[in-house]
Amino acid sequence: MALLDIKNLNLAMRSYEGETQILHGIDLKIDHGEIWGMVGETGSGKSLTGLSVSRLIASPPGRYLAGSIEFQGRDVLKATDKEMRILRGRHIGMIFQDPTTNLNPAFRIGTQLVDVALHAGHADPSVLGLEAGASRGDFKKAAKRVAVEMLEKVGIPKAAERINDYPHQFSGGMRQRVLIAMAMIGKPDLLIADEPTTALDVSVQAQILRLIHDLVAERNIGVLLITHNLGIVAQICSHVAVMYRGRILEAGKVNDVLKRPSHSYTQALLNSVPTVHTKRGELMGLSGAMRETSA
Amino acid sequence: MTMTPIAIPKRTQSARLENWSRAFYRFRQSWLSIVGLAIVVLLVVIAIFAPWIVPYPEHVVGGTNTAARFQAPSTDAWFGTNALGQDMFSLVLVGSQVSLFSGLAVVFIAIVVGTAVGAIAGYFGGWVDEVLMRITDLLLTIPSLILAMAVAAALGTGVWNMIIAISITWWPAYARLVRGEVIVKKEEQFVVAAHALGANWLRILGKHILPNIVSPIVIKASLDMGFAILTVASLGFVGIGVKPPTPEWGTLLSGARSYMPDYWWTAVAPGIAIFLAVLAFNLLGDGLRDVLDPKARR
Amino acid sequence: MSLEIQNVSKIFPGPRQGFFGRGEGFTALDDVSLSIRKGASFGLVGESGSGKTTLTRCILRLESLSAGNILFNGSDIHKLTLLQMRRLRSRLQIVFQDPYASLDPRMTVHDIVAEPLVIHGDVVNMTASRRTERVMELLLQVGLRSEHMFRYPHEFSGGQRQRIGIARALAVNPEFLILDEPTSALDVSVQADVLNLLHRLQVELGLTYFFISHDLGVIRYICDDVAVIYRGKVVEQGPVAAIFDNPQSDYTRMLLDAMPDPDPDRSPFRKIAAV
Repeated sequence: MALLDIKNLNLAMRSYEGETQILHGIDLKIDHGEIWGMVGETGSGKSLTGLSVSRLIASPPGRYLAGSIEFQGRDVLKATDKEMRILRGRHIGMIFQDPTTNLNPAFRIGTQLVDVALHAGHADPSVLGLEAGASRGDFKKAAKRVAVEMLEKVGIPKAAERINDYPHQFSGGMRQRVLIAMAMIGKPDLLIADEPTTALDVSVQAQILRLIHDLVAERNIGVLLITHNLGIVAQICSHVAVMYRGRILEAGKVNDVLKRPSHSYTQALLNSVPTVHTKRGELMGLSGAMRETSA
Repeated sequence: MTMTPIAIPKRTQSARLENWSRAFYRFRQSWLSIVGLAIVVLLVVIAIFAPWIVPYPEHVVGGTNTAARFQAPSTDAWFGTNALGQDMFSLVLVGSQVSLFSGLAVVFIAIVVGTAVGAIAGYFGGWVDEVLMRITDLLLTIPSLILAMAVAAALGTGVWNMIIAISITWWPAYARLVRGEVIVKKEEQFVVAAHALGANWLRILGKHILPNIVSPIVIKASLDMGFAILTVASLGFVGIGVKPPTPEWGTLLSGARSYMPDYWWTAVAPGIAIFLAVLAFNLLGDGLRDVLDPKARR
Repeated sequence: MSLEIQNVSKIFPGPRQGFFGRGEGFTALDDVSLSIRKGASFGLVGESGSGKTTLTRCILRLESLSAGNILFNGSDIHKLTLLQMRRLRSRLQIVFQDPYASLDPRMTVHDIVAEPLVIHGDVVNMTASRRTERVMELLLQVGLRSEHMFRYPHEFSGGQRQRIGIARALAVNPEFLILDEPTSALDVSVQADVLNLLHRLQVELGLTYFFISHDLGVIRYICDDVAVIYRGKVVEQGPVAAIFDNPQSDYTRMLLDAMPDPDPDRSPFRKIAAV
């Protein structure tokens, strides 16, 4: 049984223009220890796929026409709201693009981490190293301990002191680390990272990628990394799925797909990335000028 | 330049039209907004045509019919009659004129003065901002009802005196709103772009900043219309607004005060009118807020 | 030389302390000197907080200098009168990073592109219909179509909006273009097209580019010369090939190493990924 098994997912969204189908039969299987990169342009549906896994698409406007998303054998689309909350805090971790807007500026880092730890702990006390039925005081103490441990884990120096800081006292890279800590605190089996480094500098990006890579190596979790950057995929992903207009054009091991792409779109995408080795005139766009992307 | 004729497309209104229908689509998403809009439209229609549609036009201009005083609501007089035997339905209908007109006038004056002051303060900053905003703060501390009473005492009662008195205490709120919005928009990239192009301050303010802050002003105006109508009615109630015989909701309510609870309809009719008007403008304002957020272009 | 930046420093005043005192200021630019050749593309590389945005604001005189001079064709930008500065703005234009924020959402494409022609009406002197023709030419030049003219910015994709921004910058026939991360908000596939467009325009119109980016691949692709800036100081500068193939400073080397390359074999993590 795969960790995550998306089968024939079809999603439609309602808007002024009427209902349009956004995802057309997405199939994707993620196992423990795999880092799946999902690449595509703006509006290709890659983020909506990620959001669907933790069922974060409101309905309406969203509507699933067909398909299932099985997480550890259970269909997420059929789970109750309560089951979903447990799943999100405990089994599925999420990181988003902008580390600034995803932390509440009014609360200390520690308070926000402890909240998440408590939530995960109530779902499963073993996350905090407790037995079921432990006292509230024990829960609080354990949650604080786990929060500090997690911050250290993601490479925040002097975590025990910095836990009392507010988000604005952290740099962008540090904030993204805090969010990763928050996502990892429930010891999830699956981590969904939606453009986790897009808002960061390249030097910080390298550190965050290393962190995600090490977490996978250490905990054997599965990762769905949504990005538009093929370089990032080549660097840390084991597998890649190329999306275009709501469809997966090709998917497979990174080495196979990026080195011997079977689809011309993947090749075109690769040709459009300027690297430090690209000569002037070599870069090929995908005639984006004439393409009407209303997304 | 070459003289090859290039086909220049006609300047169409279709894009603008589509924006409007898009906006209305989002407005329709909430039925409460529709209810608000419907009542507001109804009110405006009533206010405009009231003199021609009321069943007893003579009562509106002061005519009495003491033989038929305190009639309960019936098919002859839908809302009953008051102490002077006047038809409440006719009075309430015509009363909408004063309420809507003074509400609109107050909000209009407040917007014009407030926007001018706020835009200049926000755009130039520094001591200009300090001076203008301290004046604004000062005026914000005066309660509008008390100022209106003072004006009424000094200049006498009347619609215009009332409107001016309320406006004096209302424009500062717009000045603050506009100042805040201007300060935010001033840092927007398209404004910096206009600077870089060499545009002067009048162009930047008038062409780039103000058109982009119309939405919050319209939303506030719509919400304020309700409160303006309420304030006008309050002044009428305490007797310093419009003088009888001109019918006005607050005055009608105040006249009904001594006949409660036996002749309840004399109070209920203007009361419901005030309630509906204030509610409708608030619902409309909330609906507009959903529509006019330029970030949510869906 | 087209643009000479000579020993420019910019110190932002610190927070107020008491009535007259000021806390220690923040040095955004520290003795920066750059020279940009006419007709060439000069790249400026730096991460957030390096001072590259402050430098563009200084060039556009949206910010005053604490020390140094900025010469454009020999005349000191910060010593010009307001009228002279207005004249100069028509020769020195800018394309902004975010094509979503840099276009006024309430203006049509026509009005946006025509705006510099209206502002510099005293120099350009065009009738309204001549302006419309010029807008038309510009739209075609940047790869848009005539029917786009009277639409609003939100109806366009990111790449198309950036083309509108470029058309606006080109309207008054400038000789110098500041490109402030013009492609960082775009998809790579669209970025490639915009980069090729910029290169074509440079050749056709003989423009000088001052290209700011944090993406070394983009800089390598479009620029002739490059300067690397770190915390307000220029770390190194020279021809692109020399700097990229043989970086002298640790910082440049680190930036080059951190660039994610789409070739899986160049990954530092290949041990588990190469399953």
